[in-house]
Amino acid sequence: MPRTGLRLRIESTLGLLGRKILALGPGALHFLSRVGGVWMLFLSSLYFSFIGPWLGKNKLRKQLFPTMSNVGARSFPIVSMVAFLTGSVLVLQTGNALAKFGQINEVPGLVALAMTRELGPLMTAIVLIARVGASYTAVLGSMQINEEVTALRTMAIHPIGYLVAPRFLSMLVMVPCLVVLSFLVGMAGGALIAWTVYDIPYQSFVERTVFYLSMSDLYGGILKGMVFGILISVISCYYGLTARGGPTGLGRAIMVSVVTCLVVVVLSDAVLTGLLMRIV
Amino acid sequence: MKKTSPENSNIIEVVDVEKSFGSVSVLKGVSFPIQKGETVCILGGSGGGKSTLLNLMIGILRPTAGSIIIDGDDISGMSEQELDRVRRKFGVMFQSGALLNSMTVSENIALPLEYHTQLDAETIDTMVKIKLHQVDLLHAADRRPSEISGGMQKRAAVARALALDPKILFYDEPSAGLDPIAVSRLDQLINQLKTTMRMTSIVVTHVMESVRRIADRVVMLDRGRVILTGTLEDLEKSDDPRIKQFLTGDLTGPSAGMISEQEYLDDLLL
Repeated sequence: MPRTGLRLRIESTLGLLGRKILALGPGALHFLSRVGGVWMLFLSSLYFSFIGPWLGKNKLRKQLFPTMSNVGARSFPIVSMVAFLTGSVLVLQTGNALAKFGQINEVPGLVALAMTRELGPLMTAIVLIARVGASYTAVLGSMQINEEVTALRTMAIHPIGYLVAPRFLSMLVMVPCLVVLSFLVGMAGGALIAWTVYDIPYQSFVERTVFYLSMSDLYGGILKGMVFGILISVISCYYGLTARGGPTGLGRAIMVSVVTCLVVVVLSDAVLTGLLMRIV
Repeated sequence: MKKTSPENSNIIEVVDVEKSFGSVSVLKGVSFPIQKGETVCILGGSGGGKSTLLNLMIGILRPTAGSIIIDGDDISGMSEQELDRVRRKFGVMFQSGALLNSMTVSENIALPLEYHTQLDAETIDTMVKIKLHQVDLLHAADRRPSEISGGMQKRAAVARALALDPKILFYDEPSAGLDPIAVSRLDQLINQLKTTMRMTSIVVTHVMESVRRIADRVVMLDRGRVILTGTLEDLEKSDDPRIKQFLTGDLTGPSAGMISEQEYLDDLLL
């Protein structure tokens, strides 16, 4: 059968498609190996956080509190600034629209729901990716490149137990705490703008907020905070421990780590929001 | 787990070790013993497999075939957990020192003690001072690794490796990046540990001056094979052109990747 023009075109298109699919192979494998690596690191972080210390496999006491204070107390100013501004901008942006429909009294409820369900956890997570996640990758990455991680292994000190577990636990505990604080500060920011721009008195702002909020909104936000804390700590530690190749490699590791954290946090936020709406 | 007989004085035995990364074979049938209390230098050009051999001996890498026996325990097939028990018998000084930069020198030395012993803080403090005194660094106890010189960092790394009183010390390129006096000082420390504590030392290096000062025996590697095990004298008297070239640093010779002076000039003038 002679090759007609159409047949040729189909064949070459199929061939091109096939080559494209084959070219995806190594990339997909690489992606899967990363996912697998992060998952394994998560499991061993759980082990070295909750089981290892009781079996004498690792000791957390000495590093845990400095790390926690770094993640928690020292992140509080920046987290609260972002939350305060988010709350106030929220009122500014929605106030005019709601006022047109004579619904300005609904502003407190809107701020409360938006801060607890969505913006509190999300903005906190974004601040912590920049402040804590990037530094986790940088510190562990430079330790890896400087042979410090190998040195720990030869001293029979498990690097995950010594380096990752305290960082993981700190994020697991402190991110929900910061999220709760961000609720309060965000609503305070909203209340200030509501009072100064729209003349809603403080008392009625608080009353409306309490009226609108249920405990499930708070729990949902706190749950999100915990999940984000786990994701950020495990992903950023993973990219630190797998950094290779001097300063360039380290810079690349930090960049990839921050971008991955951002994408994964936003994705998991979407998934969690969907799930929480189903359940609650 | 193999146990060697107690009268055997070999503290380390490397037996037919092979190591390949993918299809690239780095070590081929490497065998040699190391006796208790001696200083053995592992020599060879870059890319000859020295670092791989060291990483195999300290359990960071696993051999593809063969066995490595350290103080009676074959570590080649051990789980990470079993390996941790053996790891307390030896200390390692890395090329960069590899001190934890977030801690002071004395905290670095205290780390293995805090992690592996139940000693109280006061005892640990005393032990750290003893180790620091051994390497002549008492004055730098509270400085951070980044605040002290390269030679001091390496001596601090030796102090940390000594923390748990190991029987064996591994040194990875101790003279890399140091001035001649700092190198002599480190060599003096290696000799001192041998005479005072009967320390077995394995030194990976390619600096001949240092080898002449410290080595009881040498193991020479070339492209993944042992081409000589013997005393310094054996090394100097060897007729092997590869060893002669290594000792003189001549560009003309059998070593891979080298071109002769004439070829170089021809290439340059072309």
